[in-house]
Amino acid sequence: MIAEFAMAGEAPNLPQKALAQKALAQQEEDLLETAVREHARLVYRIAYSVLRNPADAEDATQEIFLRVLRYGKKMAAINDQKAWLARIAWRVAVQRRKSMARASARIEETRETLISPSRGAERVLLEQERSAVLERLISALPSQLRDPLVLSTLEEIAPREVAAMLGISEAAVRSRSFRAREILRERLLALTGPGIGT
Amino acid sequence: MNMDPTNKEREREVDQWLDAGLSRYGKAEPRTGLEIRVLANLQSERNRIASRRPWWWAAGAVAAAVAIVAVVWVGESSRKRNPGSVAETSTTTHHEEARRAVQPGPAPHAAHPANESAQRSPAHWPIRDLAVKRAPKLDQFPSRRNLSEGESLLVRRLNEQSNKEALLESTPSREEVDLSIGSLEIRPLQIPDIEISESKTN
Repeated sequence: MIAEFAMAGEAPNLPQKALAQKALAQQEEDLLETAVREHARLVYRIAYSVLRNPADAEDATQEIFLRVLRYGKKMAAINDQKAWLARIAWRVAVQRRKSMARASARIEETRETLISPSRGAERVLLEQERSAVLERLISALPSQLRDPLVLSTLEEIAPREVAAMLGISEAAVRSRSFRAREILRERLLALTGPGIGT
Repeated sequence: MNMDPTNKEREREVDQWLDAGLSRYGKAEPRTGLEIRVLANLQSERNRIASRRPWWWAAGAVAAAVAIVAVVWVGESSRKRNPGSVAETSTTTHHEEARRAVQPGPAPHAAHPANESAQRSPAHWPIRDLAVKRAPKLDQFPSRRNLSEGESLLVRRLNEQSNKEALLESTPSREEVDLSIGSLEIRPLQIPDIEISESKTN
């Protein structure tokens, strides 16, 4: 890289140290651009899984990469950039969720019952309604169960990486996800009357 | 655990629904062009950081220059406020003071109190005094003061001692005079004749 700058004749009189610094800065820029192109979608999904709002998730994604730009001068030394970015994304999204405090309003609404069990209802509207109910049920879970479940739904992240993000063992991730799923199932059974989905 | 077929069917449907819902839960798609927007935002942030850096340097340089000017100005103004006393007393050292006091004869200022004001006029300023007054730094602190009574007595005593020593040095001492020893006559020891009787020896 230094040789490239020197050969390009950009700054023939610059000392070697300045050339090296410029090369390092260029390398960091390249690494960050590659990380954005490869992992921006994953970062967005992690943020969305926590915030459940497209605009908030995109804002969080922008903030995450800005943090990497400002403080992540060591990207070249990161072995697993995907896991590293996922951890940053998770922390930023959780911080945002705490500051926004929107989840509490959603939890209040989880006691409502499912409607439109009739066959004649439009399927699209029914799917949307089911998704909304599922989101409310998930957000009503305790965070110890909700976080492993939410991260396990992301296809890009392996249970090992989820465990690293949450600071628990892989077995704990699996067991907590299973328990969370069982709780959701029971609540859905309680909410649904006979003939749902038919 | 006696489940009728309708309940089993319902549970199966709920399971399917839960699986589908959870898989959809994690498959949120961003608006098209997320990467481009992020990269554009990063570029604008880089430009902002780059444009802010020289401004900070310039502001720091200006602040440093202002501070230096202020310090120099304060120093000058304080020096102008009392130029004579500070300059005069500044470079007078203890050695000089002691030397003046030890010198035999009265001190110059004390000897000619009437001429003191005349000596203070610029025409009578010695070159050394002018150089001293221009000196910016203080070499002596605290400033010069008159000798106390005890100190002046000590100085007088030292003067007397030094005069005595000088007098003693001028007169030759006993040890320096040649020693002369009178002629000594040492006579041989006279031993009286002792007669030893033969009878005794026999």
